[in-house]
Amino acid sequence: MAITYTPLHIRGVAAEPVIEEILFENLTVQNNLVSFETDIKAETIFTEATAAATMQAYTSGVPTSNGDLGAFDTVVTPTKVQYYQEFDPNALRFSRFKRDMRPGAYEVISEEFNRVVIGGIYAKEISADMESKFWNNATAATKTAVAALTAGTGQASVGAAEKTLVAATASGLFDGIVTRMIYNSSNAAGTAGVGGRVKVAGTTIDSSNIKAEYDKVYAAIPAAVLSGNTTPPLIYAPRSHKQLINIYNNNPANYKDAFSVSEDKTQYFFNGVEIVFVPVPENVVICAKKEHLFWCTDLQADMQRIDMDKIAANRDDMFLKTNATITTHVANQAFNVLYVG
Amino acid sequence: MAKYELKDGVVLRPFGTGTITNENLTDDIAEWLLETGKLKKEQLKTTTKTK
Repeated sequence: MAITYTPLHIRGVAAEPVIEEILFENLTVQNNLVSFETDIKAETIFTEATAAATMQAYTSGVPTSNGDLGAFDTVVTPTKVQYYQEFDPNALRFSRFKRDMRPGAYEVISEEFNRVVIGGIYAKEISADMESKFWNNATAATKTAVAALTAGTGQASVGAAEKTLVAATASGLFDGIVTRMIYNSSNAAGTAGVGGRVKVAGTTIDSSNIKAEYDKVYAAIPAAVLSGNTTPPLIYAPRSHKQLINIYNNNPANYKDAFSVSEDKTQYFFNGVEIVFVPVPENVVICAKKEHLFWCTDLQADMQRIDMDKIAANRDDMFLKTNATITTHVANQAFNVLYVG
Repeated sequence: MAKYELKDGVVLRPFGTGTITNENLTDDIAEWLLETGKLKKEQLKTTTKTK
């Protein structure tokens, strides 16, 4: 793919710096918002264990075995993905980027272009795209399987909203977290089916009803998740909710803000549960411990690596390549809330 | 045959990302979209019967 560039003939000074489009940071990775399982080449086993203890009357004779001890394995293999494009640096000879090219017909490399466009914008786009797909993605096979399910209101059924969400999700190379919560094979039988999430049927969220809808999410959190000495859960919300929350809180009639927001608007809480803003779809909210949501990969740093070189020794056009592996896994599903409206 | 069909050119984005078109619209999805107001009857072809 050629460089798409609309240059002007430079007669004066170019304004510094190059103006970059505004991109979201990949906060999922930057702030460790989920658990990262690395060093996975293929077929890593995730094991979940359960137990049930049953009290019974004492007997001095032969006791009866009661209770249950169980475990099951889920095999996870990350999908190997690639970002690749080709470009002709000769196209930059007529641009501002020629300013830092060394003299000579063979010298067509611009450090400014490499630093700003490739190492800056393009690298950020790769990171943002991987984060987006980590949350929103669905394979064609999963989309077909979910489309064939009959929607129902029970927990064991796929919700009509969930079914619509998976149908609307663009086809990709692996199932993102939201899709994985709705449909997976992480169960004792090892068979694919509706996920074990706590399902909450929602609606379109706006600044007037956001508190009522978050009440539904909060009420659905299993009590054990909110108590105990383990790490607290997080509410994973669409990025737009930051604005909706701030608008909702701007209500002088309320004696107390429903959402606790830090003075610098960097931390948000609802009933003591921290809200983090990630690229989940609109009207989708997840509440889970980060230990239950996995970003599985071989090496986390792979997504930050871009190889750049000539396409062949006898050519001057170049390629950019990033290879990485990624997939998702959801554990302890009965303790994770998925709200879809 | 599906009960619901979108008018030509109608593309729905009920979740802000991803799309619903006639290619992935099923009857139960259409009925949920109608119930929740994310789909208007006017966006359906006139021969389509709605609940």
